[in-house]
Amino acid sequence: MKLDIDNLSWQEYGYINESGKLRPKLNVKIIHGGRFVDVLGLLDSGGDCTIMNAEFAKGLGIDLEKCKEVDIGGIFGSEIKGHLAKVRISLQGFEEEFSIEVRFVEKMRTDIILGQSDIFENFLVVFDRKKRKFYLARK
Amino acid sequence: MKNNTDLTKILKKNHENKWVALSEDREKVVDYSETLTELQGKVGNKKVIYMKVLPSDVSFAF
Repeated sequence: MKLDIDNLSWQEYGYINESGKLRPKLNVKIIHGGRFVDVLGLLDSGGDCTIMNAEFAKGLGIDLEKCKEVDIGGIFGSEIKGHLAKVRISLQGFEEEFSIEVRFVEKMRTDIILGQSDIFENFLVVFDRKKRKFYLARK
Repeated sequence: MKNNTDLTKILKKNHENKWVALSEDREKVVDYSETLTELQGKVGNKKVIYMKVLPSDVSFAF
């Protein structure tokens, strides 16, 4: 099968250099109700779903106590609890907003991890780490 | 707008494990705090990009 990538409109992004560690991050607007927050989000092709630091929930007006509790597994064995909520997001370079299910997690060391079930379901993603670039196209 | 991708120029040791508000072009740190709520209070209505800075001496498998 030939992948028809030439007819898609690709957006180019640079890997973010954080103290020598190169990470594929892009600007993401997270929207809930009339509120929004802009954040640098990490594309994680190995993550099953999208995870957000629970500190975002308060500013977005999301009451996590009213959200369904879910388990989230980590690669080092232990499971943690998260709360499931729907938000809308838009990605840098794309005007469109779309709805995703996010797992909000308390005491997360980072901010947002964009996983397979949301971003990779809706976009084609190409990583070219050697050139310090990555690319997204809407499916 | 061209966005800075080299955050080593602006993120320092004192930003690690903190919430940071970056300018829209990511060229400077507007402010930083222990919590996002506190930081959002400091920043007010300025247009910024938020991130939580990971420690530099640890590699992460997300």
